[in-house]
Amino acid sequence: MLTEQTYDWETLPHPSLHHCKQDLPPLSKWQMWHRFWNCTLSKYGIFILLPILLFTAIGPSLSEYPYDALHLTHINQPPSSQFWFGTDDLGRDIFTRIWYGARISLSVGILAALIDLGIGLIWGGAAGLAGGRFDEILMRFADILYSLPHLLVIILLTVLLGSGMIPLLIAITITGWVTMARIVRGQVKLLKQMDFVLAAKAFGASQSRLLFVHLLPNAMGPILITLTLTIPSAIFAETFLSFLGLGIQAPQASWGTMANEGLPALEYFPWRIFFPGFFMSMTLLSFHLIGEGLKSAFDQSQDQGYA
Amino acid sequence: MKLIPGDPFSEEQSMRNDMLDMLKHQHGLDRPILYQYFDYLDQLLHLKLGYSLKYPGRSVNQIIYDSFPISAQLGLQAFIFALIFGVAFGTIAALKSHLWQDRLVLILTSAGISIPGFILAALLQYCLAIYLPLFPLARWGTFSQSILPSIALAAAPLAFIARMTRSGLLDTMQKDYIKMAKAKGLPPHKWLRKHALRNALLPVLSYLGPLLANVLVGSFIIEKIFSIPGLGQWFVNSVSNRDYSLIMGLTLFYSVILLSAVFIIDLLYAVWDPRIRIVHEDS
Amino acid sequence: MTLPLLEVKNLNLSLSKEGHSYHILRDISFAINPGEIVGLVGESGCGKSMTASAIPGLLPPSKTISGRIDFEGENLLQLSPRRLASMRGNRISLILQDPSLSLNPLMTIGQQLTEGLRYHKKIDKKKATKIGIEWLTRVGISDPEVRMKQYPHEFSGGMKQRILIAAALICKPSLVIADEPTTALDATIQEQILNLLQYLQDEERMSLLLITHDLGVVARLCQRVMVMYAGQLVEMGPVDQVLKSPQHPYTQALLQSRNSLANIQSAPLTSVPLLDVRQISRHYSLKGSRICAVDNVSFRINRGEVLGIGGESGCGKTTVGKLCMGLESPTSGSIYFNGTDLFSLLRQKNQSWRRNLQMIFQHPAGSLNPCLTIEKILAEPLIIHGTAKGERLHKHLIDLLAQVGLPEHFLKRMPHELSGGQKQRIAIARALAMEPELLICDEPFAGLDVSVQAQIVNLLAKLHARLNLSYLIISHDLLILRYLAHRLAIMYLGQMIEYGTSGDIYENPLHPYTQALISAVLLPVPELEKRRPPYSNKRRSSESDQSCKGMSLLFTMSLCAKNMRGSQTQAERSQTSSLCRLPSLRVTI
Repeated sequence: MLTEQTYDWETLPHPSLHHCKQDLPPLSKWQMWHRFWNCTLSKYGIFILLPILLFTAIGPSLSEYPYDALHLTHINQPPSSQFWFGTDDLGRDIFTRIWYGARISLSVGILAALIDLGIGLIWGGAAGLAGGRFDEILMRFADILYSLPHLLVIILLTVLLGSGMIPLLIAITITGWVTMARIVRGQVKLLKQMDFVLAAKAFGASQSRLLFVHLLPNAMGPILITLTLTIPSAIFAETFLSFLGLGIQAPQASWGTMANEGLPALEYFPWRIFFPGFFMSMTLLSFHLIGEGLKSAFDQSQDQGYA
Repeated sequence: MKLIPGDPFSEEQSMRNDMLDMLKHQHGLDRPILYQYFDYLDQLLHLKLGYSLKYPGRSVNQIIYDSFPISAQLGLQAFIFALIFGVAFGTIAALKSHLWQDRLVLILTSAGISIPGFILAALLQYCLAIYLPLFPLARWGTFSQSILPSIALAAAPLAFIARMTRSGLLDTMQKDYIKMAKAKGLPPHKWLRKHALRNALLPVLSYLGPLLANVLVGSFIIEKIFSIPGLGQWFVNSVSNRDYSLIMGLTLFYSVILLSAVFIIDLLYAVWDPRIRIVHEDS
Repeated sequence: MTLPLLEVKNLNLSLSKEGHSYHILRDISFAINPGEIVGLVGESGCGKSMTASAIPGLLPPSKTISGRIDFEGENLLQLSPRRLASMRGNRISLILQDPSLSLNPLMTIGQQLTEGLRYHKKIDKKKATKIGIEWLTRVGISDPEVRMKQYPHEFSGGMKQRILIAAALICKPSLVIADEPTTALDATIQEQILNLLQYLQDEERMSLLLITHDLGVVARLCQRVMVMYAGQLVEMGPVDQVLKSPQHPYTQALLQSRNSLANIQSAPLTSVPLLDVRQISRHYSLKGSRICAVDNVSFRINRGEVLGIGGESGCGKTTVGKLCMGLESPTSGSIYFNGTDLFSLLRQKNQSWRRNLQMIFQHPAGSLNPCLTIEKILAEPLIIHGTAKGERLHKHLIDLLAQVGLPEHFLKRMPHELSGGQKQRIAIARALAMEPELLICDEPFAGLDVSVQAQIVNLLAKLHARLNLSYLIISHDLLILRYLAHRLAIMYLGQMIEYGTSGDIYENPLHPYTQALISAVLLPVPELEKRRPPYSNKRRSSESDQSCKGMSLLFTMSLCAKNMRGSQTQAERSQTSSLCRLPSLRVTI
């Protein structure tokens, strides 16, 4: 009676060249970094974003004009060596205002996205972990909130709450967190059923250990992607509102207010709307590209995206 | 505000919640009743001629009656444009994956997603109406006047639809039933149409509901830029003027439109996907 | 001498991915004669599916191919895409592995059945539907007129595969390529499908290229067999010859891994029950109806004993495993572990009792946290219970790895770098970290290659001998259970229908379902398998009452269709008369 295999399997190289499709586990951290850097799209995204961030930080100090200084003798000047991006109808230097506005728009965007993340993590995490009726109640509420037309609600809220940074943030985040909450909940529910979580439970792991060692690290992928894509939509909401005359008010310079002011002058002084529009688009584009790169990095299939 | 009755609310359950939420926002739970009375008086001062205070006051109705067809036409044109070209571009990108057609679509859709609608509108105005006077600058009436605004409005949805179609199609084409369809010897035009697209477009279908909403709302700014006398303009102005009853009325109207659109899309989804009909509880 | 129908000469296939180029097929040459059934055997990744896809020209475009594939005189590799497409479905057909994935969920099966026919033979819709209905009857689907208009999700796995077979044969091709057609199906269904294939092949006289990893299937159906390893054909010949006197060491090893698995040592005589399960039940209520996952199950495992639970998918064995582990709570009944009630143990603050009860899960990939290194994964139970630290911990981990036959450097690796078999070993090592008394294994062999299964079986046997462990092994593979288990329990639809020593059950199964299961096990011995009774298409009414007479002393035949509660699938609901799977009746499901 054989009690041991006589043929030594370890010496034969295993014939598989690639894993069977069902067997695929989530990717390891190393693999994901590798993919991210390989993805040319996200490289473009970063190349665009970094200079913008740089200038946002140092831009206003580079220029000798403060953002609200009026030069009434030089109104509506095209770009020149004196005023690099030209001036608006009150003679203010557009270059300075652009970077000042960048600070506002970017900080609103990132702050709003982080608030969304916070609310979404708590809400979605609780719903996903708890399951059952609690989960249903939480998600129903979120669904109702989500079904309201996003921009309409924002507009209405700013009407109610008045203008300024805080009301703006509230208005933008009040429906934005639902997407993040849904993603978090989905991930938690998915991962909760996986065998390695069951195994940890079987060893007697505590709830917090489960959450921090097993669930959250594996859920980071989609969460990170959603975060990267929430930022541009928050920035967009802010510029949209400022364009409408809500949100940020003059003389504060956000890209939206500048575009609003620049629009009537489109025919004769196009640079006044061109610059805010250009930088706005580039910023949004860079975030989208980075998000695209992250998506391909976290993509579970062996097929690469736009590598 | 106290004149708003409870009856004109529609039958739908979610509508009621939606309305409730809006009412809450409108009333502001933290505002004292006196303030609401003040608002009421405020409106009298700020309202222009011919507006009534109540909803469904005739004037608000009249406004909607006059302007909605214009907005609807603009929105529908943009919607159809975005849908047809979005699916077409997405399909081409998926079939020619990683080749130049795909990259081109990628660049275009990236631009479509990133460039805000109003910037694009201004850009189009400048390039195609001012610099090169190919198209009429503004206003509404003839078909050529509707082209620029439709494109500006359709850009972002087109980009989204193209991206979704592309990824949906790429996913679907990996599936075994496509391999089986090919194994039966069916030519590309047959399996693409009947098997691949039918499945790949499911997520696009569920996106169409919110899309319709966004198109209707996004037209606000486009209308402002192109001076189109649509509903959006009224909304923007009423917001600037803090014309509460008009805002309310328009919001209500928009919500009804949105919910109907979503409802229709849901019905369509059930027709499209037979699994939904029977397994409707298991989603 | 008849000309071969298909002749493959020097087929080479390579693929370039992420900069590297992989040589998938090397110099493949073989021939298939008209009316012949040829088997292509190999393990996962050896290239057999690639060969199957290459013949009708269904490979993804990134592969470079060279050689000749002559079919009915024409070189398929030289044909224009249009001409090639006109041959697919028409002269060459394909049947794929997973029937749930091979059917478009949005189209009726009638449409999918007839679309090939309508396109190739230019037949109109009405006539095509008629032909479709005829074929559905031929493959054993009842009420074909109604069924034509239904959607794939309304059918069970076995029925879907029958439909796919009908779709493949409807144009009467001369060559059918079946790529693992029964792998995704339960054992009893597999038997029916194989019978069907044999019957149809006999009637239609077409050639069948049957691709499988299972030598038992080959013994059952094939006249000739080819063995593939790492992209090369290592052995070829008539089935009797290859299976009885294999030449190549790989073939020999493959046969060995099914023919002679390590036998478990006989059970010690102590009868101290380690695990005592008493009338456990687990019900779920789903939208009004009640589903009994586990229904009144009782068994015992003594110290040093191995109990196997066998049955097909959906019978509730996994739920039993989870109940025994405390991961789920029963609706009624109780479980005693080491004399103490399990569920009072769960409520205790001190969870150190868990050290004695461990579990291995079904999918090795899913049971290891992909973010952690192997070291952290193995250390986890030790960290949770705080038993070892620092240097001692490290030594302990190295010991664990050695016990499962893995070298030390594996500690630094990540799960995705390991093969399926290696992952399963890590899972076993992790379970052993706490030196448990009882190890529950939930389908530990599923999804692994045959050779890897053999390794794991041997490992478990070795560990049992060395560490005096007890096992509760849950598996659908009765052959493995025969070797590895002292006693065996067979489950069906939540109930335990037979219980006894594995030898007894194997030699003399009492319950008709057990008989069906055991007869469905295919051994790679051609004479045995070919002697099975032929397929009969005639449907007979369920003669369950008659055949149940004089059966099973331990369990009454409460499984008759009339008493069956909560049928699992819609398909089964509509075919209530055929829930009794008696081998001699060949009732269709």
